Amino acid sequence: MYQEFFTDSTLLAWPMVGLAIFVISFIAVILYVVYGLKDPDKRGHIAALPLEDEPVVVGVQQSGRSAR
Amino acid sequence: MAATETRMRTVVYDDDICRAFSLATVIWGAVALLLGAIVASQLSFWQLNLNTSWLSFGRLRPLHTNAAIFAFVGNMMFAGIYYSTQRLLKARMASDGLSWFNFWGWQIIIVAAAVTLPLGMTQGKEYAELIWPIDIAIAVVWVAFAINFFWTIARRNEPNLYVAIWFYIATIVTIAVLHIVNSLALPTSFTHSYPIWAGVQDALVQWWYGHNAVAFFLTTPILGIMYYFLPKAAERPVYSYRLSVVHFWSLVFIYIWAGPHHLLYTALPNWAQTLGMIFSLMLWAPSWGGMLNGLLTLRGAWNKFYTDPVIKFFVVAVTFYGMSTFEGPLLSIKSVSALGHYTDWIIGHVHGGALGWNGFMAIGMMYWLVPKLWGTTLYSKRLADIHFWIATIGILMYVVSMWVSGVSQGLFWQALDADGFLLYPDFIEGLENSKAMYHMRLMGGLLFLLSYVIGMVNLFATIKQGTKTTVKVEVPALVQETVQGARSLIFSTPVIFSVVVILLSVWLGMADLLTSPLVLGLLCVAVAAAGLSFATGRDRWARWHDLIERNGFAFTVLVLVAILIGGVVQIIPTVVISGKVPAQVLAYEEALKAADGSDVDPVLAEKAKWMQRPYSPLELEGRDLYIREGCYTCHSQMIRPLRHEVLRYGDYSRLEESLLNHPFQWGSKRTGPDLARVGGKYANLWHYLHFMDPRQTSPASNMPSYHWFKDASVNLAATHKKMQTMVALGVPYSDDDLLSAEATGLSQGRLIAADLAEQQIVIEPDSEMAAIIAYLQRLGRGPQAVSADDVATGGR
Repeated sequence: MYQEFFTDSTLLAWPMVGLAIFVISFIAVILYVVYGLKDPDKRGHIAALPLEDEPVVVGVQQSGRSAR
Repeated sequence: MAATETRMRTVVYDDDICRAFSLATVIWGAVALLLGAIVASQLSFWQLNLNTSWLSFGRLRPLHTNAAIFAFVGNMMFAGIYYSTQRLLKARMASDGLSWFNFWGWQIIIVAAAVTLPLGMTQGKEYAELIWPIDIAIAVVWVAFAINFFWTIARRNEPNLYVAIWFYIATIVTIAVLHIVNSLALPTSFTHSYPIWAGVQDALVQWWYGHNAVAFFLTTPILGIMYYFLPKAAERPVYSYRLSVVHFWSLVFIYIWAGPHHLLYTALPNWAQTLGMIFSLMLWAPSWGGMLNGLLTLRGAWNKFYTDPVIKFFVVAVTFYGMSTFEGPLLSIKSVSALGHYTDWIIGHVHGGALGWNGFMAIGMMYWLVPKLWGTTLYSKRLADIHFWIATIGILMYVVSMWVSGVSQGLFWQALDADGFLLYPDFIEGLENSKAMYHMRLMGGLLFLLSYVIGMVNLFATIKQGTKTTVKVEVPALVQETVQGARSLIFSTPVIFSVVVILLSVWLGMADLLTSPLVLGLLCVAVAAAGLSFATGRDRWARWHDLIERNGFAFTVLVLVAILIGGVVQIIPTVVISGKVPAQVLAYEEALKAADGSDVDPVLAEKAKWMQRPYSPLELEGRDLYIREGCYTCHSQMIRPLRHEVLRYGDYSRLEESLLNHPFQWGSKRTGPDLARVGGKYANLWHYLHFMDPRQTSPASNMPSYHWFKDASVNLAATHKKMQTMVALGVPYSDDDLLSAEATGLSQGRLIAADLAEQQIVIEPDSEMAAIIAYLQRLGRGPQAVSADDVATGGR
């Protein structure tokens, strides 16, 4: 049937090219993670971003009671 | 982007928008869960369809899925993104106007979906059912959200983009691409359209969209939220920032390739199925890396699991993420898919993700966020604990019942006797055996709904006892030098080497026998040079990612390239082949005519056997009714090349059989049997009785009655407009076909009406009943034009 169309087609080079790009990019990311993020201070700074406090809160009426 | 800290800046966060999305999340969550309970109850008790068209399962089920995905998780996603983005970038959202446009636009879209889907206005593609004007509205609102988000990145005061922001970028870019490509359609009216894709193209594009809607709407933004809110709740940074980087890039690269695992053993070409399966298996590693990263963030803080309801919900959510991302690749293995596909196992898998991962993350986030936004503490930890335990029991009941039901169905369908024939030829027997599990699923869903109502009470009590807060912070202002950053990025050593290696790889793939050794040699030299450069200048290579990480635009472009690769290499070859096949078919038809029947080339004759002709006007109207009623939610039209399927349903489905189908209707679930070759299998009378009351022909059926088909009529006078749209999409209707559409439709309807009249049944020739019967009698009889006699007798 028409699935056979692909047996003579060069179109299947596309997935191979995509796969090559994927592999190269993946290696690049691993190299970055191993060597580029070697400095613990640098990693620590970025990783701590969500934990930075919100120092000033205005307009709050602390009327809530303790959690139970 | 190089950055210099110069002066302090006061930032007031826009938390009103977060409060609005939080409230919308809580309310729409209840609606989505209630709809889920209703459709589950309809599967248990068919009477609950209430004999009402707009309350029937086929129409409400898409409303349930859309409400769960886009209303519940969508609003939760926006709430989390607006809250965390401002704090991670140390900047207020760039435009309050765009934020509120995003909010109200999204709510209007949800309401529009809630009105149109029960009315049967649908495009008939799973999770993409909404009609074209709503699709355009979604695109506009999403673009407004994207502009606001990237504008905020440009105005930020924090040089580094935390990994949560990466996940949000991937979400925004990918959903835009998926939604636009999958929604391309030609309208026939304000409420109706046909997709530009057909058959296998449509199947591939739809599941590229469908799978990645799960990936980039239900997973990546929620992972971003996990990477922000879990450390907040645990009061410690993420376990491994390095692992989060690998997690991100791996997911973005791999997820987009995995869509074809929804189409294993279908008429999709094998190479695409294999790619989908392999990449799905590869997803296992990064997904579990992310799960472990989440759970290990609690190192040293596991005591909070016993005391903090937020942590409780987050831990179970991340655990369900791990379970779902284990089960997904497992189901993508072809032999497992052969058992599990079309069964309730898939429903269990989906709900493990939707209720366990998305639902628990949403609830955990709300329990953390609502007290913050209203400047108070959670009203009751005890209520939250009760919520947690009831919800957990509810999910487990749901998922386990669907596992049992699904695996049983798969084994039941494929069971063969000693002679190699079906052990259980009656499909309905399998459904009867699933009833107990359907009841258990309903109980699990009701428990989850009950727990959610308790959660709502707790959250609204929290809001009532608090007051809206305004958060003001002093942050170091950031001076941005983007031009230098972008140039450094483009001409950096890793980029140059990567481009060279990729180009040489492409060349090698296309090279002939003589030039390939030369190209291979060049490739080896390039790789060796890259290795040498890396060994002698690791700092240069390391700085490259730092530049990307700080340059929002470059980062977005890279993400776009990453997600486009997987889609393009799968979709383009399929579009090319599908574009060629109809022309070939017509050429064979002409050649056969010229061969006067006595000297026919057997190869040509075999191919001509699978020729496709467009649907007749009445069949086309019937097909639109099939789509309107959501029949695809329970019936497939795709017979897999497996012995038990061929024995049960007939010859396996071919790629070319659905080439003219805009949209494809292969389906993904079999609560009822496959219909790909139902044409001619039953008499017209059988179909009439079945639609009026399915229990007349199948006593154990849980299908709703479609009695309204008898009295409602189709507008055959307007069918030629639909056919004209089909012609614009490449369906080979002739001018004569268009001119005679109404007459042909009525003629075919009269034949069916006359046949039924012999059995003392009276229907009008232009009734919906005549149209749907005409369509069903056509299914699986592709090559043959449906003759008047065939239609009249149902092929007996």
